[in-house]
Amino acid sequence: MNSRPPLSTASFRERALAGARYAADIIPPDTVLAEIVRSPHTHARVKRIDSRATLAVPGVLAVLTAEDFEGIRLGHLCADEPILSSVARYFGDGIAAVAAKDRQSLMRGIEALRIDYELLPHAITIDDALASPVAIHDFCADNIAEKFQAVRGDWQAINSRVALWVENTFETAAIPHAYLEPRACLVRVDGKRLELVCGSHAPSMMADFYRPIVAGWGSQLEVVTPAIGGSFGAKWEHPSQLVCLLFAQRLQRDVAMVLSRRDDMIAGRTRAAMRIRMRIGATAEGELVAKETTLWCDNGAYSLHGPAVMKAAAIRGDNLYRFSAIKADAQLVYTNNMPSECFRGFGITQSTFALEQLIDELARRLKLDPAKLRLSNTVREGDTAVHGWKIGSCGIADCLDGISNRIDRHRRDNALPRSERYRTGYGLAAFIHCIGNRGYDKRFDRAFVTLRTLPEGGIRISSGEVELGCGTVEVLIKTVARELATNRDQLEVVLGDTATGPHGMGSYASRTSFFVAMAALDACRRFKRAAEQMRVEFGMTKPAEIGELVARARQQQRLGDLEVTGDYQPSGVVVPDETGYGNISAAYTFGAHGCCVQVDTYTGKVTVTQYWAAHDAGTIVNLNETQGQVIGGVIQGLGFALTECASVAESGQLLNPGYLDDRVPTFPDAPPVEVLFTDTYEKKGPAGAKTIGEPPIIPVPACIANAIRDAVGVRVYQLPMTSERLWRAINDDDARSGPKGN
Amino acid sequence: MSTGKYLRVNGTEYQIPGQWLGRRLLDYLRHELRLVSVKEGCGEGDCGACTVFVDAEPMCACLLLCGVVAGRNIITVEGLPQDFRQRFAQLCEKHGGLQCGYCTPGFTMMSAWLSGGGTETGKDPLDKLLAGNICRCSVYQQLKKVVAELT
Amino acid sequence: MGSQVSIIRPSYLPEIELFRPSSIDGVFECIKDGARVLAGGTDLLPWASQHGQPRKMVWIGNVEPLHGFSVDDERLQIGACVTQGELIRCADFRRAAPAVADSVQFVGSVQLRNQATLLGNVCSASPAGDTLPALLVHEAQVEITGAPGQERQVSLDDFLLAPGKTMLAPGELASGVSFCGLRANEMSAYRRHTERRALDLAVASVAARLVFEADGYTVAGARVALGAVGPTALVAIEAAKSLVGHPLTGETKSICAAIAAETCKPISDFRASADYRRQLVKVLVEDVIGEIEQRARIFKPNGEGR
Ligand SMILES: Cc1cc2nc3c(=O)[nH]c(=O)nc-3n(C[C@H](O)[C@H](O)[C@H](O)COP(=O)(O)OP(=O)(O)OC[C@H]3O[C@@H](n4cnc5c(N)ncnc54)[C@H](O)[C@@H]3O)c2cc1C
Ligand code: FES
Ligand code: FES
Repeated sequence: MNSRPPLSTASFRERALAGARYAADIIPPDTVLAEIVRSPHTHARVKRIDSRATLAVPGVLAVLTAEDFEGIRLGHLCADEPILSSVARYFGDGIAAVAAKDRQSLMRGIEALRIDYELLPHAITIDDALASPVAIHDFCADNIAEKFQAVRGDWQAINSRVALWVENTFETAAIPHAYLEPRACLVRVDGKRLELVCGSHAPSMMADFYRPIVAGWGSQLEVVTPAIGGSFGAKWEHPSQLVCLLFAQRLQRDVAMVLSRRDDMIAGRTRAAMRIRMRIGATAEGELVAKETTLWCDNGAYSLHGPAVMKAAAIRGDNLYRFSAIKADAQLVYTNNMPSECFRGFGITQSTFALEQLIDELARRLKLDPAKLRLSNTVREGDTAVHGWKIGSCGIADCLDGISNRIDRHRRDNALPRSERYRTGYGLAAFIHCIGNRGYDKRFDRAFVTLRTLPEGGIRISSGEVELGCGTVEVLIKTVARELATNRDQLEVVLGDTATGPHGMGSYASRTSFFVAMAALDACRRFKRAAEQMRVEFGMTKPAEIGELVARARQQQRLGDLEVTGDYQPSGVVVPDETGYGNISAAYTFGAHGCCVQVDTYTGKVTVTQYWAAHDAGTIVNLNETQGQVIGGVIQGLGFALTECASVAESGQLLNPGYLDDRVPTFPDAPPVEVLFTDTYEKKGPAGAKTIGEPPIIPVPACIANAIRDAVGVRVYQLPMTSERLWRAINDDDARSGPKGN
Repeated sequence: MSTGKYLRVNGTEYQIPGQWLGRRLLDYLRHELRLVSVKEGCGEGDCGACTVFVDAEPMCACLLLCGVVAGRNIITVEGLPQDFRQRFAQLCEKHGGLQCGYCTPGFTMMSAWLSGGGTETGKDPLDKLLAGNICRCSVYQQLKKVVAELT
Repeated sequence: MGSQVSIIRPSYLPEIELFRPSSIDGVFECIKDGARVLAGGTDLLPWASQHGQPRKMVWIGNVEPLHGFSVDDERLQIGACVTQGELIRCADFRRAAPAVADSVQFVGSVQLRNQATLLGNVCSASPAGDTLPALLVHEAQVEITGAPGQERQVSLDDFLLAPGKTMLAPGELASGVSFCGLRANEMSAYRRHTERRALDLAVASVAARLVFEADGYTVAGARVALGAVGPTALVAIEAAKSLVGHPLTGETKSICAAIAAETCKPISDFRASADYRRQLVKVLVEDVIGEIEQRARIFKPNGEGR
């Protein structure tokens, strides 16, 4: 077995000292390198792969093709992504893989590879895919990967109550996650044991998925998680990992793959693009009554988490308001685009762009203050929301108050001159989000933390959850140091090591810090119980110093008795029914954002001059990190709102891989963000806390869109709201008339 | 001006093997010298994660060939004074100056440059000087505070 | 249906055979041998990573005479190896050629400007190259060196042929660029539109250089040039002409802008459509002239506008 000590997870300080090691930093110099060879065609059948010349290149060790992965598919929800494919279903789909002893031979080998294709007609828009006579997958003739419907309330009864409907169609763009660390993985081989070293936000789930595959090759698998240079929902199963695993297994040598930025963006995943037709109905007094959503979600070529993202987008945001009736009808459509994947906000980021603009428009039509309209319609503590969410602590009212105060004060203090060219406007948007999701995995939503007293001294805290920069390590150290009254330098943290640590679901759904802290509390309770038992057994008198006890236990070789695993599972949560009804999370988070924009009406250029973000994240335990998540989420949202987009040619080719043309926000793009927190106490949470993670990005595009509407009287219904699109809207008389009503 | 086959990295002189003259400085630092603080985020000059000093000026190691910087003085984070690194880390802790940390080495180099009086015209806004370093976790606002307190 | 292209080549710099001669003659030998000129490498290396070639490069940084850089009242002379960072740091340069100084400060980032040369930007001949419109209004001449001893000067306008194409014949080197500095009663400026605030390529850009009469108001001479709205950066002759003999007013500015927008030749691509680019030209021309007016206040009798 492996004698390597587990890789301790870099703390904030180690990262600050540039000492953290990411996957690519760990690859030893003589490791075999692999690359995936990608299709330049958007939809094509592979007729023939000629790898003779490749294999003849000195230094090339092996070539893999679809045949080597017969019957293996990725996808938790719908296993439809081949590791290497015999049909290219998007520009960049992996067709073959080459391994060589060094970079130069590898590149020569790749250049020598010949692949013949039979080109197939492609569909890169939702409409084309729905109309297409060509099925992207053999098993799905109509290109509809999944459908979803939900109806709540009495639609007969609402008609008499609705005085006004507002309606429109919104489109959101596919954007790459653009984490700064491109995908990289290293497979170490030790006989039958394969060890996959790669930055993943869900290492245990990945191991669960890969183990049966690897077992089929006669090997075992463990996953080790080094530092992760950002994931935002993207970094988990990916063909590159299985390619390296198989090469390593066959060659019996360590194998690594590090994607270039360009290839990472071509072969990556994106936020799912959506088209959302939505209408909301209200009484003349401004009571929200009904909402109807028709949604098309561009799945891309493979499903990944598409089905779940689509469902979340279709209904989850509704839980913020006391709607009496809901209709949702959604379709997940296969296209020849890059596969879509979850991305900070899990679909709700997309649908909030629609909902919060319609609410704003409704307020305009009814001549009501948009904050007040929201205030009088949001859920309260004790409510069961329209899709079954049981609302606990709820600070949405404070968030809305906080934001409208900021806006009022800013408007008063900055009586900005309204020139013909530059216009100023204010916007506001709100959201609700969950903490974990009982529905994600049918087995459980659960976290574990193990405490192990080390022979050489100190305690190792392990968990299957990971550190993505949101402070998981810090939460664990703080909790354990406080509960066990130990010094923090006695504590070592190892996250995401499947060989030595417990299982973990991973960092998604804003669950990590909440779940990990709860499991750590439980672990500390168990540790104290075990220590107490041992103290009595050793006949030590009260109160025993933990250090003393540990010394005795070590002497008597009883350290194993002090190893405990804490466990947390939220109570009162259920797997939702097929219409998405059910209380999926222990508690819910809320927030409202506001901003001030300046629009150059001559060019359509939008400058966000000030941004305010108010969040109910429960009691704030770690102010710096929580605030940091908010600011970071807002700036990412700004990119999603105004500049970022995977631009795809009619041929299906991605035109802008790379940071230059993908336009993620840079230093000067970031406006000042002021962060406000409510002083909510969540009794189910660790020390009253809830979480932050995803929420800060959710309302940003709608918030900016509402401010643009306030400034210039028009909306751009499509993301990104580029200068050109806004300039067109400003100069289009139809757009000025606003959303259609009845 | 650079000739010859030697590279001075963090004060030590190394002979560049012939086959490395036409390869990237970034790879030489990371693979041959194991100076893995120097990160590759894009390999195309966009992100600044690979920032190193060449004769005290920041440049992108991903767009420099070893043969082009032969004879010049290269500094990476590992070669910055310890007290500066500690102070930078402390300020990051104080202001939340990083999340995933992948951009941190690049920002460390730029902060060192700025705190040593780095400038272009003598009156450049910080925004302009740091525009070449992308942070996808987007802790720009916090980094601004870190740099302000350093300089 | 069969197909030619078989794979997307992973983006990685191929193994480069690098030559580092220390004389111009040495450079020519390498060029003759098929090597591509490498200056700062900020254009060439990303290109080579994406395309897997060129694999032979001749780095010109060792050629001492190409590092020359002089600013005198009449003309600036910049050698092929002078980086953009060196230029910006020079206050005399900023004073003598404000439009060029503006444009250089938009290129990439601090790090890139420390590597990239001014001439590299010229030789890349990108339609969106920032320094090109600025150099055009400063009447730049590119010094071309053919075989040893054969030198000629061509105006930048003639030098730029098409996207990525210049008048450089195989085997030729651009050894320097020279351009006019500001004379009395002159001012210049450069502006561009990008979606991001930094690290982005111009969607449209405009440079202008104006000569004022002694009164400080009336335009005695004008040059206007446009970027990213044609296959190369363009000189907008008619637009510039429309200003001459008139004081700068809202009306003269907007006439100039309208002519510029009409005469440019933008294309539509994923960055922007042609008609939006025209609109940007219109706005940017007025903005640039406005900027020049601001900067030229010092010419006026008591330092103020009307
Ligand atoms: C991230 C990034 C951002 C950028 N942003 C901008 C921007 O905002 N605006 C902009 O205009 N550009 C931008 N660029 C492009 C680039 O930085 C400039 O074009 C730069 O000025 C090129 O100079 P260089 O010295 O690096 O040229 P190199 O890359 O060395 O050469 C460029 C080309 O010119 C040829 N060449 C160079 N010098 C000579 C010579 N003396 N004689 C003959 N041929 C020669 C080379 O063979 C090559 O084909 C950006 C580039 C990157 C990577
Ligand atoms: S890796 Fe060099 S700038 Fe991104
Ligand atoms: S901290 Fe993650 S990229 Fe900057």
